[in-house]
Amino acid sequence: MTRSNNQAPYAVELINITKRFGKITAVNDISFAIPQGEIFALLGPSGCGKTTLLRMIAGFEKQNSGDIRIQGEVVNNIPPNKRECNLVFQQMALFPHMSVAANVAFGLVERKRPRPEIKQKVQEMLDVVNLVGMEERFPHQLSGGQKQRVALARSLALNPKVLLLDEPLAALDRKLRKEMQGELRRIQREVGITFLYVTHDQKVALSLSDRMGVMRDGKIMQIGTPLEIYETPQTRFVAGFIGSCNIFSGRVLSKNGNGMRFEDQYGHSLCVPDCKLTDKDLVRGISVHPEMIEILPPHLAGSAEKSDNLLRGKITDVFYQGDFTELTIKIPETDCRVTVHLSRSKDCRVPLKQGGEVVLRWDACHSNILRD
Amino acid sequence: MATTAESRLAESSRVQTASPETSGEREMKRRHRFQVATYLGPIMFVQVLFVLAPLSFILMFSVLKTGPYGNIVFELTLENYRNLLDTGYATVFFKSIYYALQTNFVCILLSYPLAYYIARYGGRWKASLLLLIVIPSWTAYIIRLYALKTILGSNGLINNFLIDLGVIQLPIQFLYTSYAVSAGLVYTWLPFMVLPLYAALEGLDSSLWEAAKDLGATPVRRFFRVTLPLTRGGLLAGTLLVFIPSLGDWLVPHLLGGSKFMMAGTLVAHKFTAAGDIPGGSCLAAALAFVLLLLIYFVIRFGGRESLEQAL
Repeated sequence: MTRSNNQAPYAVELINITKRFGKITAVNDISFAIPQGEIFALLGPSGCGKTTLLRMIAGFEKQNSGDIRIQGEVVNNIPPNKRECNLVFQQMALFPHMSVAANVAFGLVERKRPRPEIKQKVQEMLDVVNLVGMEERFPHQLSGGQKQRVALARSLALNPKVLLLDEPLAALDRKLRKEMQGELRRIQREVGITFLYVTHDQKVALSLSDRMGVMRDGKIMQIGTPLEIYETPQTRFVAGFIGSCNIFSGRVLSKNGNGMRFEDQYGHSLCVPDCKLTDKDLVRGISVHPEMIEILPPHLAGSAEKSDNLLRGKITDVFYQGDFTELTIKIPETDCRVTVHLSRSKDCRVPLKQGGEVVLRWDACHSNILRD
Repeated sequence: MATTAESRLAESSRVQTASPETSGEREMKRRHRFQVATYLGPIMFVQVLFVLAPLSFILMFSVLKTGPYGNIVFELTLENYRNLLDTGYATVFFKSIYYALQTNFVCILLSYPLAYYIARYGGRWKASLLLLIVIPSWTAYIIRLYALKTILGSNGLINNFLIDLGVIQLPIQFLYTSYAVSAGLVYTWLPFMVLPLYAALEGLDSSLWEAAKDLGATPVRRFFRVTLPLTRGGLLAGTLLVFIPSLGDWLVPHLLGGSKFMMAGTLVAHKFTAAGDIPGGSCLAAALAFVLLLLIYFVIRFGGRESLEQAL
């Protein structure tokens, strides 16, 4: 069963992995593969099974069925201390009684490498994570970001085939998180090791990863580049989780030359781009990003083009966010509410106050088709 | 108890030695000192009454002479201390230290796995399991030792069982041997090692074990590189709680070791009761206390404050 191949195209392959805890199925028949040298983010709400999946790859949990391959080699029965992947823990788990250098050297000492080699490798790793000069410090003397760097260096020192990261930035404040994201990317490029990054923060996943998968209830909902996931989510869940999308349920009435006629549950007729690959009966709804919707004063509604979607509504809430303003607009006689993000740079000719009547407009091509 | 007083004393004196600068600060300091005094006053009173006063009596008696009828003669002398060096007392002391060390070591060996399994796998049974370990120590210690006697005796549980099985023909002499004393000491003091070790292990973040495993450490290496150094406080605390009482223990050697088995505790008791030599007994007790203080000092020196805090 085991096949050894250094040139395996995938760093990690999961084949029909299922994991049950008692009656609960934490991971339900998941298969996907991560190519060498990629940063892959696994995004999902807490309890969706993403951490369980990560712990299975690390070897701390055993799957009920399915195969895990690391660089082509089946590792199902290899214990964590012999697997060539390392885990960066959410709580960092630095050894409090050891100095930074000793922490980084821990794995190398366990592998019984000669002393000069360990020393050199520790220096090299501390250099990579920008902690030179901190060798003799102890974990309690470090800041959150520095601890994270030590944890990274400790895992990277073993030169794993894949580095598993379990929300390592969750404990950091916003500014530091941003900084560490950049650092992670730089470090990943420098060492060239495949990263599998688990998070519930869609911003981190979008900005950090080369590709990402969105998980829900033990299943992978969609895999793609951050751009694909954000701009063309295929399901209601992905659309809602990745950004506060406006979702219209409904069906396609007719197909014509420049698009499809879509009718939502309230009877609004909307224009949707014609997607040649999609059977019109598969369309269950559309999603529109709040930042793609424009606001017009009611008297200008007539100037819109044919491909535009127009909806009349009333402003019910205005939330000033700094870089943009979030508006909630209710469509009269329905309980449909639309969220709109108005960028500061966009000129808005409507007074933004509660109760104001407005017309919403968005281009047909910004309607994204949902299949569930 | 004595250790409580010392650590509290150290704390209050540290508070007081900071030098005041402004009059406002001086006022604050004064008020603070008053507060400390009110908090610690009652405790200090109890400590003085029940610890320091008896200790000073012992010290005083130890430098007095015994009269011909066992009465105390108020005449200062160091003869008792000279006797300590001359006679065979030293052997008894060393034997006691040996048994205390042995008890301590066996307790560590037994407690680590026990505490580890309760802390890691106890789940919702943790409290009950700990209670099972603690409950026997609530029973009077003399009753427990008599119970142990019935188990170890010639007509006891173990011997009868072995004879019934046909393994042996005649009962083995367990009672009144050094093995019975060792077993009795371990049995008596084991809970006091399990509890601090459990507390230390429970406080250990389990992700550290996982991290060590992830970085390639085998279970044995994990114990020596992560678990042991991080539970050193609990280990030293347990050592204080087991070593001290087993060094001074007199009931275990008395009941399980027989009349000829002498340990430091039995020797002191013998001096006071059978020999009626109060100054001589006081001198032995003072020497024992000195050995123990030395031990506590070294534990604090090498184990740090944390070990003391875990013991209390």
